[in-house]
Amino acid sequence: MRFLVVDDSPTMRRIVINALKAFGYTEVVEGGDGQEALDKLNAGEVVDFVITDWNMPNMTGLDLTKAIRSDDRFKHLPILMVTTRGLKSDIIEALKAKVNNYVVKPFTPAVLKEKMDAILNK
Amino acid sequence: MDIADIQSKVNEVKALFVLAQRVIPFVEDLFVFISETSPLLEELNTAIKDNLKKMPNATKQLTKVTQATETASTEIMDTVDRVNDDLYKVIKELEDFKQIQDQVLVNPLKLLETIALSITEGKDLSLMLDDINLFIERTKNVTNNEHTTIISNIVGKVNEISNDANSIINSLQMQDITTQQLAAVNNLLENVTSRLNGIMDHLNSSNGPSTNTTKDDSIKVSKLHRDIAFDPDAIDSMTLEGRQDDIDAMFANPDAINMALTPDEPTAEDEEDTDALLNSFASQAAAPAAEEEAEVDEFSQDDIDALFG
Repeated sequence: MRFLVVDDSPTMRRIVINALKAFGYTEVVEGGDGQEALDKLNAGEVVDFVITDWNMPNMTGLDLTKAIRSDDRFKHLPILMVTTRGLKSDIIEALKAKVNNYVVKPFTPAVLKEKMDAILNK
Repeated sequence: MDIADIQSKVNEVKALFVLAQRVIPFVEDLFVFISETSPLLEELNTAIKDNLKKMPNATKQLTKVTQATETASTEIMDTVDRVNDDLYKVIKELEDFKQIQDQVLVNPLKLLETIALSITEGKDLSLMLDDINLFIERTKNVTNNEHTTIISNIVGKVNEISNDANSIINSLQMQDITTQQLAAVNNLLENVTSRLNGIMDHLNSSNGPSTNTTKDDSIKVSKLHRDIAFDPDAIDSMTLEGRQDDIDAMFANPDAINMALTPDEPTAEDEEDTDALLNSFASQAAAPAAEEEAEVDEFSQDDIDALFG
C-alpha cells in the first residue's frame, strides 16, 4: 500500500512516516502542502491512502480533500485528516468535505493505526 | 472726523478684508486637517489600546510554548535516560553471553585435548564416559538455559529501546505545535506593526482614516524560516485530555455521516438540516467536555470516532 503524507512540517511528516514504517508500510510519497500533493497526483503519482494535515500554506488539507473528492480519478482515495484543529466547526467542515476519519495532534501511533484500520476495514 | 480719517478707516477695513480673504483658506485647511486627523488619532488610540490588549495574549502564548518545550524536553530526557539504562543492561548481558560463549568453546577444547592425550597414552576411554556425559549435560544446560535467558533479556531490552526511540519521535510532535504557536505570536506582532505603520502613513499623508484591517482568513500563514500555516490554539491541543474521544464520538454517528456525505448537490434546506443535525450531534458530543472546558468548543477523538464509525 502506497501512502501520500501531506504536512508542511517536515518533522510531522517524519513522525507519520516513522509510524507507518512501524505498521509495516514503507511506500510513502510526501507533499509539503495541498498544492504540492495535488500536483503529484495530477502528475500520475499512484497512491492508495492520503494522510493530510489541515493548516498548510498555498492549499490547505481541507481544500486538498475537496479537490480529491471532486476529481473522478482520485475521489475513491481514503483520506485521514491529522491536525491540531479540534473545534466543532472544524469537524463539521471535515465531514462535509468527506474526510474518512480524523485524528487530532498530538497523537499516538496506536490512535493513528486505529483510524487507518477503521478506514481500511470499511 | 475729516475725510482723511474716514479714508484711513476704510483702508483699515479693506486691509482687514484682504487679510481675512487670505487667512480663511488657511483656517479652512486647518479645520479640514483637524477633522481628518481627529479620527486618525482616535484610531491610533484604539489601535494602541487593542494592541496593548493583545500583548498579554502573546506573552501567554510564549509562556505556553516555553512550558510545552520544557515538558517535552523533560519527557525526552527521561526517555533517553531509560534508553541509556537499557543499553547498559544490554551491554552487561552481552558480556555475560560472551563469557558463556567462551566457556562453550574452551571446555570442549579441553575435553578434546584430554581425550587425545588419553588415546596417546593408551588409556581406556570408557573409564571417562561418565565424565564425558556429565560434561555434555552441563554444556547443554548452559546453552539451553543461560543462552535462552540472556537472549530473551536482550530481545526484551532492545524492544524497550525501540519503543522508547519511537516515543521520542512522537514527543517531537511538540515541535510542530510550538512552531504553530510561535507563528501565531509572530503574526500578531506583524499585525500590530503593520497597523501602526498604516496609521502613521495615513497621518503623514492625511489621506483619511485607514481602512486596512487584519486579514480574516480561515488559514493564517506567518513567515518565519518558511511559510507556516498555524492554528492559534495549537498548543491547547497538547493539554486537552479526551479531545480525540469527543471527535471520535461525533464521527461514529452513521446518521450524521449520511447527512453530511449526501452525494447529490444539497439544497439550501438540506444544508441547513445537515448543519442543524451536525451541530446537534456536536453539542451532544461536546456536552461532557463542555462542563470541564466550557470556554473551549473542542472535540475529542471519541466524538470524531462516533461520527466516522
